[in-house]
Amino acid sequence: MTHSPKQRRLTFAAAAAFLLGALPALAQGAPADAQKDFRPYGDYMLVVDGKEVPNAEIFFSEKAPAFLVMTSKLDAPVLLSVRSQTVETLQLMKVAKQQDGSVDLLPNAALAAQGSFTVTGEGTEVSCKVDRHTVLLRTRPPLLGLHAAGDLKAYSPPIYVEGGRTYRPDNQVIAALKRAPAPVTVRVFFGSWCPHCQHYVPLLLRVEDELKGSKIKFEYFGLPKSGMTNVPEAKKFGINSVPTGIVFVNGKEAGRLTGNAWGSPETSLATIVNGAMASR
Amino acid sequence: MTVSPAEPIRAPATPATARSWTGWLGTLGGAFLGLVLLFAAWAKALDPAAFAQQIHGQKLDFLLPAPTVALLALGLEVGLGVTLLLGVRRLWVLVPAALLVVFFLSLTGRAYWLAAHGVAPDAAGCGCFGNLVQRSPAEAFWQDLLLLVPALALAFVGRAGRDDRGQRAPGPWVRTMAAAVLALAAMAFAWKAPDLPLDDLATRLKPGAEIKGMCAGAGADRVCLDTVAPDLTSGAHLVVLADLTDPGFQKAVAALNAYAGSGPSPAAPAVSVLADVTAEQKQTFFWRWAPAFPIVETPAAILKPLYRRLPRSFVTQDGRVTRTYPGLPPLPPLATASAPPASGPASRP
Repeated sequence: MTHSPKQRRLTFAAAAAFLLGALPALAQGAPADAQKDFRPYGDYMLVVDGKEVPNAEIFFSEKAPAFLVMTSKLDAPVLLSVRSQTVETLQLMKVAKQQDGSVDLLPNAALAAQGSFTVTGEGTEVSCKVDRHTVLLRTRPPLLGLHAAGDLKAYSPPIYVEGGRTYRPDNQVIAALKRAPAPVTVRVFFGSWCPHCQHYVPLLLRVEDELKGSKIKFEYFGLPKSGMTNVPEAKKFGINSVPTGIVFVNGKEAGRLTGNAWGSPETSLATIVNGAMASR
Repeated sequence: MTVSPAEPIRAPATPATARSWTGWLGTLGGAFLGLVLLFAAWAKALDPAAFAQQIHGQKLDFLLPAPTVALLALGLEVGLGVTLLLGVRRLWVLVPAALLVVFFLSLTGRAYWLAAHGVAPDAAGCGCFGNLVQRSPAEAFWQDLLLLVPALALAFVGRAGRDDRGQRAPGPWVRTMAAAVLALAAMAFAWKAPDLPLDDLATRLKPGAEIKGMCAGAGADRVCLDTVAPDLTSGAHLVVLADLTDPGFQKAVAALNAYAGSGPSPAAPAVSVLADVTAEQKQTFFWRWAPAFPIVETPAAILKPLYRRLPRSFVTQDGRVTRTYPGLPPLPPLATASAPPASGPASRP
């Protein structure tokens, strides 16, 4: 098969055009694994120049491992790399947000060194200097006392909103719970510092969202890390581990969500409620 | 029929038959008690360190170090078990056996009482059956009571008395010597057991075991590993059970990081570490060693039955253990491992 010079020129032009169009994408490339998958992180809050920044975005990549901090209070996103203990800033346009809420760093991002960070109090505070600002990542104080779901979601959106986003409660169980004739209250004793609570309470928050408008009400009681069992409310209900959910049907305790019951909280809740209804 | 005046008068046949019947029942009871003691000793001999820890926990090492007490107790248990199994029911066997039974019941009874009154965690059994048998304090007490006490009572029934001349039968020296030799052998085995490749036999973590079956506690307080580490229930995982304060494990973090950085693949499943740590210990470890793998805080009650010595590793596929390793898993050497960049993007100003 032979081509005329004109055909060859056209083929070359098409190939060149394709390459030129593809070059930016090729240059940008796919991020390396270690720079991908920064997930919203809820255990720390940001303090800039001594003032808390409530709407700051803090991400963490387990693979790097590194923290990425983004806020309008700072000129650029800040990257804290745990292994090298370094602080660097990068251009905002090199941070790619993904649909699932995670963040990737593009590999050709230019990093500006800002020095190193200092860790104090077993990691409860991480401080560094970024340009002219003093930046502090500080462990959130625990959420204590009686709260509604909205308080938890506002306290740490990465934990209590993002944490339950992918959970899909059983539709049939939810429909059955919505038909519960008697008033039900679920009081959850939890610790905002407790990793298992951080995993399972968001699942119940999702269940609560699904049960909006039903006769089932939820309340959340935060306990401190030390002396948890000495809190009068915990003593009153004999709480010695968290998370523990007490289910009240018609004002009377009908059962508890503990241990494995948290794996599918709506199913456990339905079992307790059905049991209470049957024994009436 | 005439009877010679010189011929001795024989006892009627019926009482002799009765004595023989009760004798057999007693021997059977003794043998059953012996078997129970031998099974309990075997379970503990596989992991003598855990047994020594329980002895220390019960403050029974006030005279001798706990590991020594553990070895002596195992020797006694095996010696009595073998002697009873061989049908020796002399008082010098039955009295120590009775004391041992009372001792076991006092331990399980105490644990049961404490658990029932909320003083001790429900999952804390006395561990009389080692790691092989998972029992709640209530189960431990009632099982011990029902297995040991009737068998012990039977062992006292129909014991051989004096013969017609009012003399005792000669001592069962051969059987006693055999029991003594086996008791010494059991002590030697227990002494060497930690170095023998018996982890799969001695613990609940073995190929085929399910993540959802690794549990602690009873009733509503029961917690299983699939609740603590739900990620392990699907896909392939390489799991390391570790003590984060162990310098040996800390030295291995770089290799584990390199492995984790290479990304999960069918040949290299995602790595995670299970450890009985507080949030503070975990945070300190994180900032000091920068692990690139998740560390799951796991209650000791779930972890302890899974290992004899830390670290121990295993591979899971869809929530089922497919392989176990003593120590850390075989990892590619650091020099050849595809290590992730130390930090941040490669392009720097």
